[in-house]
Amino acid sequence: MKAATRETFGKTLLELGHAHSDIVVLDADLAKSTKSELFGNTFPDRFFECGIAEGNMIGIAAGLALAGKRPFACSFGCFLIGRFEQIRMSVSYNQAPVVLVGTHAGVTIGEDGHSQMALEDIGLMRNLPDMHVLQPTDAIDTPQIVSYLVEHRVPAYLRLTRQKMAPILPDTYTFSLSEGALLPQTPPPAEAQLLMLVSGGPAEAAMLAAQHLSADASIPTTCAVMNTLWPLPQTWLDSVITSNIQGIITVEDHYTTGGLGSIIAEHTSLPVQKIGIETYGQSGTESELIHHYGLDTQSIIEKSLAFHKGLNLSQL
Amino acid sequence: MDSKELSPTQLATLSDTLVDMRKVILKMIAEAKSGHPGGSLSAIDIIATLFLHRMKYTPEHYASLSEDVFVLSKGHGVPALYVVLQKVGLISDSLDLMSLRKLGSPLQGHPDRVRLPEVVASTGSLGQGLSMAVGIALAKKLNNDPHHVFVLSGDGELQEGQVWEALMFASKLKLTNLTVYIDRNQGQIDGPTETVMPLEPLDKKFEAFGWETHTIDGHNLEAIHKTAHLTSTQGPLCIIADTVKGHSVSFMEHKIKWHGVAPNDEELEQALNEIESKRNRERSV
Repeated sequence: MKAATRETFGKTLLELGHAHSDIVVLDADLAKSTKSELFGNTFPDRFFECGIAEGNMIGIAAGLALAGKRPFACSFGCFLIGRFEQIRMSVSYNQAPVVLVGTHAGVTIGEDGHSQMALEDIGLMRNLPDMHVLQPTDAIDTPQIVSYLVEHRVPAYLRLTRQKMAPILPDTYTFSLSEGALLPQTPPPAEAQLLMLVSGGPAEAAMLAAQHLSADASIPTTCAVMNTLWPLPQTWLDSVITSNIQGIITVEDHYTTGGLGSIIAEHTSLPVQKIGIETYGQSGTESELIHHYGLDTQSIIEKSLAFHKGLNLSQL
Repeated sequence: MDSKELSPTQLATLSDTLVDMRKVILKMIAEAKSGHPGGSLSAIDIIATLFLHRMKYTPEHYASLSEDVFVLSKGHGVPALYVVLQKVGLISDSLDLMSLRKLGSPLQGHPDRVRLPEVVASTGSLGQGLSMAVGIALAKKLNNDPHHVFVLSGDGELQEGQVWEALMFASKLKLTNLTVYIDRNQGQIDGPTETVMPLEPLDKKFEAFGWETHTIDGHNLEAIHKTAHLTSTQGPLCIIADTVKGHSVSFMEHKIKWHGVAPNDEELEQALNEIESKRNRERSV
């Protein structure tokens, strides 16, 4: 069943709240939207409504973390990274194990428009030493990632969607911080020409595009999700960029600078086709925006075909 | 347990210790050839009195934040904190205070808790210390930990909006285990606070935000000591400490220039002599 990763996050945190009394949750007047209210309704003594004051919320979360608590500080991703100075000093430089939960990431928040869209958050957060940047895929990896963050006292940014996500990871999937995951019905890397790496919102669209390229366009394309964006899962990445891979396509609901596309382009000498957002967002329905910004399956297929054609021409 | 008044002997010893501390602060900054003498000298009386005569802690546990806690929000005043931490045994005597601001030293130009956990919080980007202290005080409430959290904030940094967000929050949560001292030395880099961005009426602003507020002479050790022992059942406490930037050195006092400049050899010698002569004067009174 489709579920927004914010929804799965909220349910998981509530469940974990029973066994982990060190979890405290903070929100800045968006508890209904971030789903932190699910925890707050059951554990009111460990839930702190900070009002529309995200900088202070982040500072308080840092203090709670330094004093031994495991705080989750929640807001829209855009409003969290707008307080980058508090994140860089109070959380990062202190190495305070705060989980910053940024929801409604990317253009898929829809009608609210650009001001509510986090599109540069991955780029900012991964510039902070020791910051863990995680973006779950569906209702299968989200609970495991939230659980990981409860059990490991690291500063982290958890990027979540309002967009409902289809379950695409196998039921047997087990999260590992140092590995991404290959998606079903696409060829293994050793048999592929292209590698398609995706994170977050467009995961299903990318998988469907890779399946189409492999089956119908005779371009075997492996598709994998990267739910750990930082620290870079380098060994795993090297293992999927096999010698037969000619080029890499990255797909993300984030600016193509700073995010997954940049991360991969920094890591490899292979040609990289970055698919993502390249300008301001705007109002529209979720599906209109996905199509407008080229994150739907058909758009991904078209860009991939053009990229593949370019690769072959350059080899002539 | 400390009584709520300093005995004449305690007061004399503390005054004497503060003469030594002021001299070390200036030597450290001179040796580093950079730093913030003005705000270190305005803050030292408050920091020393809190650590020597109010706070309860042990060297083994202080950095775990399970005891009384002090957060220096005005991170640039950190030479004063380093001197006090060493005096009370929270940092080792073997740590050379003259390594201030030198490559690899735990004594960074602004507090760094990863390199020196006893500073509690990394600060230096102004306006953030109070929020962190609020978080620590909140954790203590959740843990039923009866210890107290002290914060020393600059006056200039009150211009940061985040401070007022934290004031609202601490008041809402009735954090009776939190006391903030304001080092009200009236100066900031670009000029007097009341010219750069007026703060007054400061006491009324804190009161309006739900804080019990007292104003004292921030160099009166008895007044610092007395307010440090105040508790409120209503909420957090604010002590506005009227201080003198560059206190005890005539050519530094009230001079914005000495916010962030190190004394040269001659200036250092003159400053040390002036501070020392104050000790002699105090003794002869």
